[in-house]
Amino acid sequence: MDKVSILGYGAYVPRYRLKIDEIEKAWTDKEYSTRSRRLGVEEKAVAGFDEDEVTMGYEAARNAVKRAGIDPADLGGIITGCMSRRFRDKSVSAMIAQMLGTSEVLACDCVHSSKSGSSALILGKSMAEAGDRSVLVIATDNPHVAPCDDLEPLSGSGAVAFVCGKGKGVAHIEGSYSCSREVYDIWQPVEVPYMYYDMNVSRQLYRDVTVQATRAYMERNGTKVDDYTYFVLSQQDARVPLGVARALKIPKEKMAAGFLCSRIGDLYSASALIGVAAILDTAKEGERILASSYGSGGADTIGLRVGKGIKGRKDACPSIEDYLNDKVYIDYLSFLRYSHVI
Amino acid sequence: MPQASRSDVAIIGIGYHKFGIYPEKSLQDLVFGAVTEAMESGNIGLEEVDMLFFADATAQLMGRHSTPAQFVSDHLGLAPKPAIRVESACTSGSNAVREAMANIISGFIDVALVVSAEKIDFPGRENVYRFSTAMSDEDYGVISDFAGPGISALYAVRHMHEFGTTEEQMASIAAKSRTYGAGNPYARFYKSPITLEEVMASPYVVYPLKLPEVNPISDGACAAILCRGDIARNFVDNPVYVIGFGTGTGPVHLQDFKSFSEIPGLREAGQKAYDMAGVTPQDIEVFSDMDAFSIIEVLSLEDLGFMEKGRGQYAVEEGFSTREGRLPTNPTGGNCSTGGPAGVITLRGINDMALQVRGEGNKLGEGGQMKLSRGLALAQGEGGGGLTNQTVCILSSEPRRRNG
Amino acid sequence: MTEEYRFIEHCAGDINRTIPKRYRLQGSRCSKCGALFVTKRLICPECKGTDFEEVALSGRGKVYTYSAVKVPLLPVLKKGHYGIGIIELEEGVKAEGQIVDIDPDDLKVGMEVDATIRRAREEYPGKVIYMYRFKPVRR
Repeated sequence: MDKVSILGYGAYVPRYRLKIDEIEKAWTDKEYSTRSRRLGVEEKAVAGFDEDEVTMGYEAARNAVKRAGIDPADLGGIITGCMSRRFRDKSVSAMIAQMLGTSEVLACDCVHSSKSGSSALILGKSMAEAGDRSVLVIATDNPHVAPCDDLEPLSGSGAVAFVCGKGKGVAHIEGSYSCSREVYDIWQPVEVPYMYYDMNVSRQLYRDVTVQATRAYMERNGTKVDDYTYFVLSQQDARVPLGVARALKIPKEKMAAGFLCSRIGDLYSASALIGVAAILDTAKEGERILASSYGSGGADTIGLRVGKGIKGRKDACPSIEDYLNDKVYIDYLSFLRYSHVI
Repeated sequence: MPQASRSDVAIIGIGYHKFGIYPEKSLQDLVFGAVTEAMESGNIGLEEVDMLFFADATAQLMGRHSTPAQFVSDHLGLAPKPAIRVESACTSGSNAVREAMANIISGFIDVALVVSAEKIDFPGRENVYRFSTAMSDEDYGVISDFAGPGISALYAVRHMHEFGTTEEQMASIAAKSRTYGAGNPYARFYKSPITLEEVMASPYVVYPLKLPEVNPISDGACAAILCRGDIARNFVDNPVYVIGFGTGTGPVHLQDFKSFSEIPGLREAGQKAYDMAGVTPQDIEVFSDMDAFSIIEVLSLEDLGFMEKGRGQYAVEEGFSTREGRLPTNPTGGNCSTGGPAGVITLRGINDMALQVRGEGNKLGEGGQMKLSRGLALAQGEGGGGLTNQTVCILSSEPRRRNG
Repeated sequence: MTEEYRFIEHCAGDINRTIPKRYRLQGSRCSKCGALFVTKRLICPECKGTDFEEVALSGRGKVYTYSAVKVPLLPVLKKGHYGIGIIELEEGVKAEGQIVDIDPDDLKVGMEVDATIRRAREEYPGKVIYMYRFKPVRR
């Protein structure tokens, strides 16, 4: 089987930002509000009134397909990882396929908490290896968070997409390691509008599982921390991942390029992967990236090596930094309106 | 003065029901008010009427009933005479006049009763929503959220861009309309004038149109009695002859317009009317345009040949369209003042001009009668999604001159 | 479920039929005279021909005219101000659409825009309708 690489990548972050200060101002008598500040998130990305996980996924997909330089009709598969879908039964991938103008494609969704995106990427890569057409992998989330919740100052919206296929790519996927466990850390039953969670369980599991998954990958692939220029972890907040990095003895500088949480919040499925996209915007050929994405007791660790194709593909679309800098601050009331809470 | 013939059409009776909001009144109450006034002004009884033409744009839309013409005809006691409904959004009223004309000239009937009435069923925004989205493309336009006034706003912005029109110039049209309409007992804003400063200080509805410049949707009714030219003098001493009528349609979808600097098809409709009447724009002495949105007055002055393209916005400040000007435009209040019950608007325009030609303009307010030497008036109307329907109606105190 | 839900404008069949045009700004070209239309046509207004071929449009263009809606339409009451406009596309035809991602007071004639897809409505029962919109080209 030919090697499969990432032919193109793209992301989309909505323009609107809500400062966490604004959330605190709205709920000044809650003691949690001072705790959130210590978790390091300064502002979060908010989807506009007429945006949702599908429109954001479409924008990211469009960027990825453009960067890859392929025709959407050449795609053999579209897999979307999303844990905040509005429909119990309706495929986001099918909608995005229609939006891109392709129909002869296997379109299905991958739903597994925050690691929906990375699982989709592993599945997409395997599908591209087994067949002869490229696969588009999208990770998008527009989380349902209740007002005044602990998750409110942490959750953001955004999307990222990758095209996996054979040929000279911007990065080659060297390998992956996955583990799974059944837990209740963040969960959402069908009839309930908002996520339930246990923050203590969630943080502890995140630490333990991420450390274990990252170590296991490096053991099985015979690599060390020194072999990688960049590390990305899924970012539930802007503090705990840095603690995990210390536990793994990852130097702070290696975490910097992919660490976006303090500026946009936790993007759930897109959290770690958008860090990968941000890294690819500035990485050089030959550098290696290790990404570990956690979700509901499981984790996917994916290793990448930046390839020859990185030159010249970067400027085809706006960079992650372009999206982060194109921002408009909104107040809390606008945030409630845009999220259709009121 | 030429003798009126079988193939002339005259307006002999004119009636209104004051425009306003009447939640307690039914559609039939509004119709009754307008029709009784028209009968009186025409010295004619309902038994003389051969056919009813009922114009409205919203009866079925608001979900009330179909066959509104038959309902009205029944309530007026006209059965078994024929009745038909004419609809083309805001030009329903004027198109009903055209249909009546065609029926008279062709010899089907001698006397026609044209009635237009509208009743708002839903409060404020829901009414606007239902009416304006009904005019948008049903599959793709509706969900682009183009508000009703939005269409005229697109014209306004383009006019501002191409010819430097200012918001003050458009606002002055609304101020003129309200000032003249303040004396009009049939106007919704009777005794409610407004100054230019107040218009400029009002909130935007759709940039650049402000609240007083935007069609105030109202209830209301108008009626007109038309008959064969050669029997008109059996009823009144001063019949008003309809000597020219031009209509046309334009694209319904905004994206099919070639240009946004002119109302599509108005020039052609105007030319047809002028040709039929045997007059030119210079001959017209008083003008009623459908200023549902202030920019429409600017565009109609240009497209009907009264002012050069790109100069319509100067009409008020140069004194061209004021009561003392060369071409008094809406001298007893235009839409901004009378209020705009969809299909009735254009019949109101024709009625207003007919009163001017009859010399009864003071019924619409003190000083409302303009000095006319030849008695030539023009009433313009447009309606529909992309302003897709245009009507131009030319009235005269004398029948059409025929050559040879 | 918000109160705007009560405006039922589309039945399921209509939604399915209009998907290709709503998602991808498509035009049709008359096979007889070559005229290009964005509006779906069955008969060519120029030559009365009845044969059309689908043309994919790029979605890029310039603002030909615009307006800022300050009083939103009822189903999108809570949206706040938004921009509407007529866009002159690269291919020479005009398209009508909402202009997003910009304060409508900042709109200008001649601004460059690109087509994107946004959520237009949610209708009873549970039908989400997406529609193309135009957003300014910034980068």
